Amino acid sequence: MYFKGLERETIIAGFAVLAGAGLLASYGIATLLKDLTYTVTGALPFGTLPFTDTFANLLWSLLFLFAATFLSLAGYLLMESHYIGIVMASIIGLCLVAASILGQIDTVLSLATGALCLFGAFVGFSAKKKSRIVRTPARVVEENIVKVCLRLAGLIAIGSLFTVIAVVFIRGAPYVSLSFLTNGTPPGQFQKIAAILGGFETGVFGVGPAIIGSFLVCGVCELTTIPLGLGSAIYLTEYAPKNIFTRIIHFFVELLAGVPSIILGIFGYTFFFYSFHWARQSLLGGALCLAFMTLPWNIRVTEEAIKTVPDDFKAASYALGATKLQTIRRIILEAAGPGILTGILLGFGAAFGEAAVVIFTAGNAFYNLPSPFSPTNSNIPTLPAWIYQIFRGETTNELARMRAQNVAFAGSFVLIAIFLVITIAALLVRNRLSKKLGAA
Amino acid sequence: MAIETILKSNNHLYANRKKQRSSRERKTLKRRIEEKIFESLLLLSAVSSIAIVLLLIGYLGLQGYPAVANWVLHGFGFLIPYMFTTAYVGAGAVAIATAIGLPTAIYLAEFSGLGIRNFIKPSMETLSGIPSVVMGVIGAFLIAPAVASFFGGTSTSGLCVFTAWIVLAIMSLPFVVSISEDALRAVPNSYREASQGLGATNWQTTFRVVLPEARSGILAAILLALASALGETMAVWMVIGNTIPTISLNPLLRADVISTYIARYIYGQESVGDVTSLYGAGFVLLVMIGAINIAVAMIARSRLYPARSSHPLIRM
Repeated sequence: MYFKGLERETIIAGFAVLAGAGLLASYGIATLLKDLTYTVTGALPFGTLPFTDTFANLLWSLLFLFAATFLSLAGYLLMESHYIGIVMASIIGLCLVAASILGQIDTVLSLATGALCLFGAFVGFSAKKKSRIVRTPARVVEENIVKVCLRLAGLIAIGSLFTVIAVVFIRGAPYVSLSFLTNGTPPGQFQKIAAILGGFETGVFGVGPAIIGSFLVCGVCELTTIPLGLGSAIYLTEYAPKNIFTRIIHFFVELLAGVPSIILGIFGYTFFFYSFHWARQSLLGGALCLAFMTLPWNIRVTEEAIKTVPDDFKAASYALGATKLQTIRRIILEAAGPGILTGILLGFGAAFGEAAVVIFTAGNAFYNLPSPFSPTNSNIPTLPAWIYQIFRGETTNELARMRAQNVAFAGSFVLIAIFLVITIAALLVRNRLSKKLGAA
Repeated sequence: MAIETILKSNNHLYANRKKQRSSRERKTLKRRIEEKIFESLLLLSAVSSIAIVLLLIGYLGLQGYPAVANWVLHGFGFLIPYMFTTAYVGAGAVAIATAIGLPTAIYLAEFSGLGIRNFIKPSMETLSGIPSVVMGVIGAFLIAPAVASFFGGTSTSGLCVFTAWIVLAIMSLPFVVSISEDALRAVPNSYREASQGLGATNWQTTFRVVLPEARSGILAAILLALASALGETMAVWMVIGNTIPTISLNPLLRADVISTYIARYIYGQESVGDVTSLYGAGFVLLVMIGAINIAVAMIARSRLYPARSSHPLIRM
């Protein structure tokens, strides 16, 4: 659809440049990335893994895919119009010049790429010149400048997300192994980070208990939130009269959504301890505090999902003689089900990564397996707290600090991978729902 | 004879119907009771969020009352620099986030194709859920060294307010982008058509017609981003440098904000003030964020074109 108004030469030139750039980019990334990431991040990507290793190859190719996706998105965002050949070629040419000046690239490669880029730019430019006979009015030029600026802003915004994920992937993935995922961390050693990180080399410590603990806390949290959120949302959409009381409930839900996590942390840290004589940090305390955080999210999405159910469904149900309760249970909840599930999953993903609450209320032990059988008096290890502990374990030993960074990134990689899996599952459920509604 | 039998059978039918009706009535009664119970249960769960908020505010207020009363009477003392840096860090971060996020929202709402929008908007909303501890790790190990090398010798480790700005800006971007985009999209198409009918270009239409119409929604987006930035703990804790702050506009100094003060006090890394001032600081933070939320609620109520995002974390 974007190429509808363009001349064929422009399109061909643009695609040629894009294809050439893609080929060269993948080759260039392969050779350059090691040096480049070392200068940018101060560490080698994929650690000490050799290029020939199958696992390393897999990682590299995944990274290429990722980079290629981002590059093509960048090209699409920036060059949605006639300038597709020119701008792309100039940008890549500029990058290559910069790289060769910085000494990051060998001369033959840069010459070849530069020639190709210039050729692409020439073809694109001549094609464009042919197509434009009328002089462009000033305000159209202004419009185009504005558009490029807006696209650049969009590129920065989406680029930050990609950068976050890519950095965690590059730095963390090579240190993740099966033993890292299943092992615990030796007891009582945590302050001596150098000793533990020595243990990391031999594969004796990992995030196993922390992952289980995080799932346990979030699971118990959802057990309390889902019924409450469902009930509140059904009441607010189906029963509540439009009066001041309903408005007050809505207002308090929004207020609860705005409560910062540290407030929940300090509340959970002391309230259950003094009022119920629970441990400072426990499964139930952490789960309840997390539930305070996720409850408003659940109410919002459930309300939203229920509101999307067409009124016809309800009317048909009432016409068949169903009561309100039956209509809610069999019609509304059934139709809104996928939407509600999406919201719950998104909330679960966010709660899984919430650190400030669980670190104070659920706990930061690393060694003991979390036990669901003493919910009020045993410290539960969680993944975010684990990462923070590794991060905080400062040391003057340069090598140990380097390792601590890598281990923190490895933990972050596991956390972000779980978060992304949950989020993508949620989005898939939502897509299926919107398709179903679209078909109906 | 025939008539009698008919009457009889009619009678019989009549009695039957009566029986049926009474059983149906009993059933409806049972159903009605069920419905009442169900409704009251729903009401109870709807009231639970009010109860939770009141519990939180009441608990913090009760525990922090001595400190807050003392502060109100005798000035806020050691908390003033904390309040200042909290506002400074939050405002700077949201300024950066707005500078990038608002053009993005304009692009998505007014200029981009549907395909791009349907890719970028969910991605931005996903960014809102990225664990703050991961953002902290990235801020400390990636952004802080970059800041340190960029600004040379002024800050050796790079852990400073500036780094916190960047990290918080990335974290509050989704709020600005998603809610502003909703607000822009909610402006009726007839406005755009009228403007273009008068000969305006897309950009002129956007700048002079759509943006002014959507300004309350954009303001709400910025305020919500500010509220989330003020309350953020984990990432700020990891990148801001953790030093008792001074009132200074220099963004390359190490500092602390209210939320990190509370966190560090509990964690035993900080000993300014006492336990009541801890709760008091929490109460002050809650009041700051609550005020912003109330402002947002007022804006949302007065808005001409209500819009809502489908993401649970981002909504006004």
